Amino acid sequence: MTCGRARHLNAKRATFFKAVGAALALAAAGLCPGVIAAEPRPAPKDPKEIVSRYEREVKPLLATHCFKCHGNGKKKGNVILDEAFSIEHVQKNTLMWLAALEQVRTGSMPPEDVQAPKKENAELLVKWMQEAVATADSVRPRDPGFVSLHRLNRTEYNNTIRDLTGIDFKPADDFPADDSGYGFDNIADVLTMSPLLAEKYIGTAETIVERLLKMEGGKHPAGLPGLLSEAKRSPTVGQDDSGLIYRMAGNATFQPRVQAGAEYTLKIKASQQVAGTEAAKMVVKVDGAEVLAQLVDAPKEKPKDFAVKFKAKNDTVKIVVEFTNEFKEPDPKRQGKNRNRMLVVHLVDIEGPPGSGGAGAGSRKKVFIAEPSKDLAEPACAEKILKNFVTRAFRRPAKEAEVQSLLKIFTAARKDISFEKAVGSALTAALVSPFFLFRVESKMPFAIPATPDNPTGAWPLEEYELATRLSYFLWSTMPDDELFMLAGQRMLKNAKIREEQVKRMTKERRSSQLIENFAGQWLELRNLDEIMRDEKVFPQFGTKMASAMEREAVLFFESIVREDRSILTLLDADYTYLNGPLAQLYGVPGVKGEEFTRVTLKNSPRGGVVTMGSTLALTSNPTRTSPVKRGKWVLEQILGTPPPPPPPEVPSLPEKTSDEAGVSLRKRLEAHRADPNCAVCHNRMDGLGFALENFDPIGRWRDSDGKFPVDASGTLPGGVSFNGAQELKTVLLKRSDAFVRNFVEKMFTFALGRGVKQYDRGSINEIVKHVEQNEFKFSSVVMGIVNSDAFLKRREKRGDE
Amino acid sequence: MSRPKIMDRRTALKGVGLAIGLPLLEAMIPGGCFGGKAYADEKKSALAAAGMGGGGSSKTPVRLAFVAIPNGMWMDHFTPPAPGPLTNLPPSLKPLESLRGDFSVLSGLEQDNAKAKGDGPGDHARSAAAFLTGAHPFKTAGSNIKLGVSVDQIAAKAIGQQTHLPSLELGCDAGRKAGECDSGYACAYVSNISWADETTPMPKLVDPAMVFERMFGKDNGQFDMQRKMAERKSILDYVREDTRRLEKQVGLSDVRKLDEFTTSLRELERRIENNLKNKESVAPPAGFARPTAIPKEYAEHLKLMYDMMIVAFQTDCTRVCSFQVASEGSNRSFSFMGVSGAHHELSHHGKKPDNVEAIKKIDHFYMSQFGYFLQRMKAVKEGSGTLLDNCLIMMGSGIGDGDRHNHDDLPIILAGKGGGTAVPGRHIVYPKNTPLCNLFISMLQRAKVTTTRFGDSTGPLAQLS
Repeated sequence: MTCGRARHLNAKRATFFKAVGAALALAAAGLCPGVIAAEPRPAPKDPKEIVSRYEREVKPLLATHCFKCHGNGKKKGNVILDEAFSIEHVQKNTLMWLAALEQVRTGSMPPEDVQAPKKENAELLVKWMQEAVATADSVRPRDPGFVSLHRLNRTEYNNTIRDLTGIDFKPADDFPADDSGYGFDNIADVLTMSPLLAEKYIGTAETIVERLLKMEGGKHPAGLPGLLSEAKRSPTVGQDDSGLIYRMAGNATFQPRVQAGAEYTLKIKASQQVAGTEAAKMVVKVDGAEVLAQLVDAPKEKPKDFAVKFKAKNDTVKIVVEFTNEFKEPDPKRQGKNRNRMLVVHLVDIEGPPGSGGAGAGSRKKVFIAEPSKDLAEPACAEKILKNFVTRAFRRPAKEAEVQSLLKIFTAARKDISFEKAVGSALTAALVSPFFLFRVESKMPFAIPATPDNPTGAWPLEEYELATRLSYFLWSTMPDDELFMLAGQRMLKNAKIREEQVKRMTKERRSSQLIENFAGQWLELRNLDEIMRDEKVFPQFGTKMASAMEREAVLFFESIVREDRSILTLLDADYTYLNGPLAQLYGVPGVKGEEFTRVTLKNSPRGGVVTMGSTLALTSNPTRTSPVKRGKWVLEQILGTPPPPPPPEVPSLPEKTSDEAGVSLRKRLEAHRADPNCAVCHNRMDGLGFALENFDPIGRWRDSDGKFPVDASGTLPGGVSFNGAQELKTVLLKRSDAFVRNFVEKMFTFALGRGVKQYDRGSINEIVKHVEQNEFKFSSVVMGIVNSDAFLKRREKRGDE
Repeated sequence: MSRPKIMDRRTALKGVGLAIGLPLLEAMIPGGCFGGKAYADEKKSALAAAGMGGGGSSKTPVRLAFVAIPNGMWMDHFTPPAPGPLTNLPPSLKPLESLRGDFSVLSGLEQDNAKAKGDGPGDHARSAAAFLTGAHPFKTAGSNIKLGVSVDQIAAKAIGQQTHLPSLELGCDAGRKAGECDSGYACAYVSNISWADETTPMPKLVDPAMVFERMFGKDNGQFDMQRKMAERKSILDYVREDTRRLEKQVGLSDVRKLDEFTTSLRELERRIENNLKNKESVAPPAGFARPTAIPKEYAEHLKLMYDMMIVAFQTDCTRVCSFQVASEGSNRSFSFMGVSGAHHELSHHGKKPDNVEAIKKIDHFYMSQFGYFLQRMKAVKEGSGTLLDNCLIMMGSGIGDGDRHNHDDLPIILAGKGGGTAVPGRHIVYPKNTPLCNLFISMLQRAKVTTTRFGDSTGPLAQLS
């Protein structure tokens, strides 16, 4: 049993020690001998004391050990330590001071060629820096920060269209790729606009409305309902306003997009023209299999409805509607002419589960909520439809002026085209409106004065804006009816109700978007389909294996969300999700087939994201592993302490297997970082990465790399040693404070669509504290973010941003 | 998570069909791109002037293209041994043997703003960003991206107004899907070489089917264009009204962000008005059909994108194209041609023979594809000459040697005769540190864009004509 697992079983005890973090709990529980406790959180001091200690004790030490590179005009790595000191200086340069702190704490600095401080002096420096940062944070003005106008990214656009219209066809997949920043593709500042995108917006809006109009359930003066207009007809089949006309034997084929595995109902409406004694025979095939063979004994005025259920095998389905018993006889009414037995198909449509791509009547009714009648004149009806649509599309109640402008489009268009098409024209316009394409957060009509309580002149978000932030954070889509309703009743300001909503939303199916979009980017799973492995060396690794690895990571993350587990489970767990091929790759017995199943791990090096195939493959090169990349990944994605980028003109290690090179990878890397300048960072990266050397470039276990036995031991600066993945996980759990903060910061970035700034330290500290007090539960991260000033408030952009 | 539509090459190419058969290319000229008749009169007279109806070639529009290759080149095999006529081509340029009289190698050019200038590592991001802009990117991983307008967009603003599309931006890599892109630089810098202004990259199209639709419309011209365009116009009027309403509602910095949107709308509107003025139905050139998807094989993808550029120029759909064959720093595997390892990693060759051999093969591959492009251009008759004669195509990389990450003495080729304004077929060696932007000035001037300054230019580039 490993330390991480022990912790989960001892949740109660852990809670007891919650304030000091997991690692201390572990050590105190006596489960992991040798584990060093995380240090207690440093307490803020009187700012004056910090300043006077700087002058008296700290500056002389810095002068001796640091100023050679970080003072007297030198600013290596952009770290300057001899500037005029004040608490404000720490506030403005917190990240720099934290970086310095980390370097001294881990013994990475000073480098070998500079005299190292005595142990007690190093400790003094570390303690002072920790207290200086804590003090700076404690007197830092509250600041919710600034998020710019947020364009919907491709995922958000797809989801929003699906929920707004009921049509799920991922139109934004054809849009140009969104740029990403801070590791995520929903960062407001980098979601730019271009003529190409604007063109896509208008073309896509047209397509969406065309699709809406084609759906069943209304009059279709302008086109055929359902799938009819998409029919591929054999030459003998005609078409007019009533539908498809089969005068002779022939068929029509439809190939709508569907969702593989989902159940659908195929709906057909048909009639016949009589000739002879037999009725017209209609045969229907779905993906080649006959599902219906019926005599259509119904006159044209009273067509008959047919319905067949089927399960989609692929993402398109082939439906063939055939007329098989053609017949003609002399027409008694028209001398010398024949009359044909005819099949008339008035409707072919499919209805599927919501969000499955089947465009049934339901989704159409979402938009066309009324029909003109003698009690409801066309303009009034159009107004009703548009008001409803605009409210939902703009994510707040429609304004009179907006509806009136849209009505003008309707009125102008109505002269030439049908009622529905004219409404469609106005709907198209609404879908290109900036109020739809951007998540709008309004400024205040007057400037908010800065006060000691509100030093940045911030104001709380408007209710609908808050509903929108919530739904795009947790669902990557527009708010649903319940959120809308609560916003309308101004209930979301109430923390209790807000928390109930967050719980509801996290349980809901749509929260899979949080998993896909947050975890998919945090764990870089989206890059899996781009990594390349040498096919000759790794025939096992292909697209299928890459998606299996992705699936494992997604399912595992999902279990943390759905079961509201501790986020420390991400570092080490006694279960994972596998299918046959992946289990075989991992050497886990007893799992067969393509389906994924939850597997309890016993005596397995797996468990947690660090030893997942996805991570191990993503951080390798095409033919060999890369301890450097793996170490960097751990520092960046797990601990949130990315190493500075390498200096220019340093060659990377040649791409060669150990056998090709004739030297072990470890030896080659050691030579590579002989330079003390490189060693400063590489000691950290390589050390962490070596612990994962038992996993090959596609994540398989190995005991040797070519002819060289694997040495999975690593040492970090400061003397922490470990051997192998399991001990690495223990070390990481010991640094759970860093992991929790990093996880919070990543999710904060995703939730707000902006990077974490220095001024956010107040908010982040509060969230981290909340998470620690709640057994590190996933929900506490979400709740902490949602209840932070940064999420609930807004301010104007400052000049210096 | 969406995966790009990928299919095997044969199916993907079916769409293009015979269109890329050489004899047919010429037949395409009478076709027009989507809404392409707004400038039809001008085009006709220009093409007529070019020889179809007699006259000199002076009025044929000069088209500009910019092709960016990532990770630099193995310069020993790229730079010809001596200045003067291209008699003996170095190994990496061998694929251009039959085109010896159609291009020049320009040595000694530098893109100074790709250098670190105190910003530390991130040469790949910087070189892609600076390549066509001559500007120094502001180092940021997200917020505050800031660069400058690129040379193709200067041209697009000046001469692009006469064509359906002011410019076309193409690529083969969609851009990274997760993670930060290069040593603290936002991904926007790595995967965009065309920039409309300081903060707005011009996204590129990577799916040839989408390029086709952009040029010829979604429905192959099978719809009532007039009515649709009239409808679009009223929609845009409404959207502008909404944008004004929104501007009043948001803070100053957001108003600036909305400028991007308003600018994009204006461009759409200009195109719609062009379409409304012109009553001719729209159709792609005969025999040229919509490709179905992105080809699986990289070589085929590149060829198809090059084909798109040719058709765009040929139908005068646009006169300005940029093409980023792969994102800068691309770590693409070339195992399909027996190269073990990936491009970026190999480019840090450390002068090791194996790595250098691999890099030479990759360089040769990219030059072969470029050669294909030039060959096809040359096969298209235009007036008394060829399409290539009326183009100026710059191809190169913002990095010299991939191992050193130097930004001076870049590998640069200039192909085409620019409508008789350039004399190719030579190796021209410029003094050390001559700004690459000088070449851009010269290209712009030859395309009738009156510019005297761009980026860090010091004047036009000598010796081209």
